[in-house]
Amino acid sequence: MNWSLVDPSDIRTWIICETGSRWLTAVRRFGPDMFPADLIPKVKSASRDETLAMLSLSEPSIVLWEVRRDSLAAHCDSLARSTANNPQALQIIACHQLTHREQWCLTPFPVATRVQHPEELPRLTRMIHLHFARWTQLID
Amino acid sequence: MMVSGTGIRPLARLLDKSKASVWAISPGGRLIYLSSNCSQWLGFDSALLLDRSSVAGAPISNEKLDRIAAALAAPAELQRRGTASLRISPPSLDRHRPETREVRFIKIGNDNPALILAIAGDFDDRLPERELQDAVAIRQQLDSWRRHHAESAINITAGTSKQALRLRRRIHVAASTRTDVGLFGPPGSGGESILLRIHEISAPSENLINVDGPLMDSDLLDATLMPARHQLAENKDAHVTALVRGLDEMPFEAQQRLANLLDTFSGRLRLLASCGSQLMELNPPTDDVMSANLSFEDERECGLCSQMIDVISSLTIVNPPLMLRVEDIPLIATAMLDARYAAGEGPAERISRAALDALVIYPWPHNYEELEDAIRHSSRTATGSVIACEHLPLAIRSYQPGSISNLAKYTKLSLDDAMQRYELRLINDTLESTDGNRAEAARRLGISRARLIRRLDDHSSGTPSPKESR
Repeated sequence: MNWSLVDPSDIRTWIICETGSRWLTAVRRFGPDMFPADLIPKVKSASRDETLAMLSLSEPSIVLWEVRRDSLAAHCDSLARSTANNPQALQIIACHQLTHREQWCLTPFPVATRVQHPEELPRLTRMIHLHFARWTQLID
Repeated sequence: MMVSGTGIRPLARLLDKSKASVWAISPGGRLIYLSSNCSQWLGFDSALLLDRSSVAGAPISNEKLDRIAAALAAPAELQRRGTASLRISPPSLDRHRPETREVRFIKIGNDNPALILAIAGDFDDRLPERELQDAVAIRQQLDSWRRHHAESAINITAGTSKQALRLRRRIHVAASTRTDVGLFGPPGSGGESILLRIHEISAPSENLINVDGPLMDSDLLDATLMPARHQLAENKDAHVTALVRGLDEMPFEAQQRLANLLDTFSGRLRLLASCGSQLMELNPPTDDVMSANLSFEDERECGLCSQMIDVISSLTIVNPPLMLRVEDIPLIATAMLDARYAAGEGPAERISRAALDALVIYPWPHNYEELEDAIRHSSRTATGSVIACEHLPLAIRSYQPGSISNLAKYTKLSLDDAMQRYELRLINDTLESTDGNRAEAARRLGISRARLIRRLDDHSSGTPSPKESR
């Protein structure tokens, strides 16, 4: 897609921080239908550091973190930093591999929701609409 | 207590004496033993279940005892894993509602398939891999769906989405009232199987006449319905159901003739019709497709004359396309696979998570029929107990969602703005390559230094001068 053809004010970034491409594929499939009609999702895959750097731009965006058992501590650190960097980011956690006890470790962070499988993404449509509506109001 | 000997009777006596519910499933998937406590648990003589098929949770018939036997089946991949646990809630035979019990299944020996022993009790030592936990969760959801919607449990209705819930409720009403029904749904969405199930439940002994809507004119319709008309005229207690495929493609005069016949035999001739999806598209905001007053043009567009709309307005069922029921796809696909496994059509008992992901991502342009074909293909291709991605049809396993295709969003694009952004990016790139030397950058871009500075000033102040940019 040629992004230079799109009005930048209509673009909202959806960052995927994961191992592999499961969630990138899922967001590419369902993301466009989950966004408000006047906004266009720009789906990007990024490492943890790249995600934190992008979040420092303080723009309304969505981040989907895939949290695995072996990287739970690092992700807790990333979540703490990303929240401080950009409160306008809607943070979603994909935690298919985690036990209930491990998922409890993530509760202190302001994460909007947790998903296990791609088929759960369309349920988040209303939440995403509300998120962008709120931040658009505040920006205006 | 010690029991000597190798005979099965002493063991069976001990099992019968214990308070545990124990049963055994033969390598062929049939119940061959149930302890006496099973009778207390299930609320009837459990010997009635002997020799009934207990495979994959899918009953081989709609008979209650077959459904109960199927609920006692071992979870997927037990033959590979050797042991597994599952919470089981058997359907009730009468008023007695069996409690949910945790059951440990154990494969006896190394044969494949082998004898399976199931013991109900409290176990807290299981930690299976995550993927198998998911398979067990899906099995439990399917068991619950089969238990609560046993009669109308066609695979299309499986699921937890709002659309699935609404579809099940409408089918339940249609099956319990014997009224005219109009079913709206896209091609391939299994509308005919829903209508047939409604007929089987609501009026199983009633004659059914199939009518192919697009091929009819009023004379041919009369000829097709002639036996039904005779039957209804001769016997005032007779009832007949007409199942019309493609009512929206039936010519208007034939529709009017059918509406007249329905009116003539008021209530004794019932219509079950699949009506396409056009009317649904004319009234998108609501599930009630009859909510709007249709103009003559709308009638033409939806393919139904106003008399026919009056007839089917008594009950309409909306069967949404599969792409709107994404969260139901794993359940529907697993229910389809269960039925095939129970019918002995292949060795696959479950679908791997990667394959389920591929099914979820695929947009299903041909709806349920395409999913059914995919599961049939996969269960025949799979060599083991799990359907993996490579067993799916090529179109599904190779599908990759493209970039944003909503071209309507581009209509807001301003050419001037896009040109200015492109121009600014070129200027910035050139300035970067000349280490900020504006004169050199202007020379490389073939413009004057003053013009380059003016451009930068315009962009920094946010006051574009589109005329100059041309």
